[in-house]
Amino acid sequence: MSNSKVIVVTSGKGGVGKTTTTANIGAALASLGKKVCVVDMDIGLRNLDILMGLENRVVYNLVDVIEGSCKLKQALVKDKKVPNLCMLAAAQTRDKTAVNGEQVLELINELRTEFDIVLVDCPAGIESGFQNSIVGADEALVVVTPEMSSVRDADRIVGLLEARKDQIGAVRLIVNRVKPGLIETHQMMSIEDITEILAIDPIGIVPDDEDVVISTNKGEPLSLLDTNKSAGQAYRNIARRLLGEDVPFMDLNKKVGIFKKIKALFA
Amino acid sequence: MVTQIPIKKNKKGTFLDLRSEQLNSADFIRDFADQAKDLANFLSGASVSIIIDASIKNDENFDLIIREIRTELNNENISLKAVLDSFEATESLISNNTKNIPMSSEEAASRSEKEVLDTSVLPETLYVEANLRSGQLIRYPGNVFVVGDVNPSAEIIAAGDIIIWGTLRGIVHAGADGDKEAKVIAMDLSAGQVRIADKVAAFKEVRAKDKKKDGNKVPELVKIENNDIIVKRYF
Repeated sequence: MSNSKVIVVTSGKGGVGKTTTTANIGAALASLGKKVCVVDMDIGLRNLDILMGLENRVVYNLVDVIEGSCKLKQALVKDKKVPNLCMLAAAQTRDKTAVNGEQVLELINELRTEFDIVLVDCPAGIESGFQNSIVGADEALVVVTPEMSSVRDADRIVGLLEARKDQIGAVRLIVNRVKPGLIETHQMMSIEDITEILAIDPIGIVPDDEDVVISTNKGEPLSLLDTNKSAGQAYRNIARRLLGEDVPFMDLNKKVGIFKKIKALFA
Repeated sequence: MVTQIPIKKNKKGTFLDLRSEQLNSADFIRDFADQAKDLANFLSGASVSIIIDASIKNDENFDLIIREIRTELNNENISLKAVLDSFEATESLISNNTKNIPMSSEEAASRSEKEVLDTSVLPETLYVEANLRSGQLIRYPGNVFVVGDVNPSAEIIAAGDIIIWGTLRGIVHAGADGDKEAKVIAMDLSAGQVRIADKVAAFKEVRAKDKKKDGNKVPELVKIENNDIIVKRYF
């Protein structure tokens, strides 16, 4: 057995940032030297290629590989910037019924032989797309935003993942789109509120950051940009924690901190 | 191979008819595992009652057989709700509950004798040591004791009392078969709604917020008093 790890990124609810998380953590892990493949399992609604800025390079997709129309290596798209990062795109002209669990498992096992880490971008929902995405996973990252609806759906997902305890060894939580200012004024659920319900400690807390939108539209994962911008840093930290490093959580009230510092200078 | 087990569905629930099966044969239990897998396709998550031939109750292995059946069903995420010794009894139970047929007291007495559900093979209290997450459902014909939290939109429906050694945020229905004496006890009652027998109480959101501010969570008891659901401190 190889030492490779298959991690599924899931959430239940749509639009909470699964694909963005997959792209950013994938890129961060690759820039840390790991051989990484990100797989888009959202067949029929493919997005990951856009976020990675690779849509023009996609020739074959996951369904082509499964149906035997091409070899796996032909379908893997190499990243523009990080050579040890690959992407396997979903088919856009098909739907979730195009593949079944056994076929996906076979594909995942083939990817295991080539890569250190395989990140699977799971579609929203708990139906076959979800079932197929978790079929080969060793670990799971559950993305949740500080909203009651997202927390409830994540709770459902965690329940489903925990039912496969023998297969999925770790279920980790990423709290996305956190607005510290709103939490401070009690207008947003706090991290504690979320972890109290889900009973899982977060592996990452990603602040709401407009740079995410900008980088998404540019097709450049934020975590690759050499900035200290908050969300990009948060993704890099998650990648390091996934590799077993003990990285302290960022102080999300930094912005306030800077103003305070300036104030202090003039005081 | 056992023939396909007949499934009967009606307003009162789902029933597996095992009357024609040789329950005490070793082959049956082995084949039942396969049958349960097939059943899981459309009964997963549901609770069913099984109907058995009355004579099997005299079999010395009766308890063992029922336990085997329950294990196989549980493996497929189907819970065993009750064991009935004849379908006629069930049918009368159904007609009693769905139609208002006036009965003489004699008739009523003879009927209720037949209608007794044999739940003696199930423990009176189901002990659950887990967090119940959204979408998870427990139905039980007795009391339910949870060591853990019951999260929003998780559900517990019990014929008896429901006790939560943790935070209750989901939906619980105690005394679901109509027992007005049933009660709900929670270490931290943060649910928006509690059901007892045929009553539903919806709590104001303010309650949850006040509790939060309070910080001092006290165990609370929910029960029916003077035909209304009331909440009070447990001690």
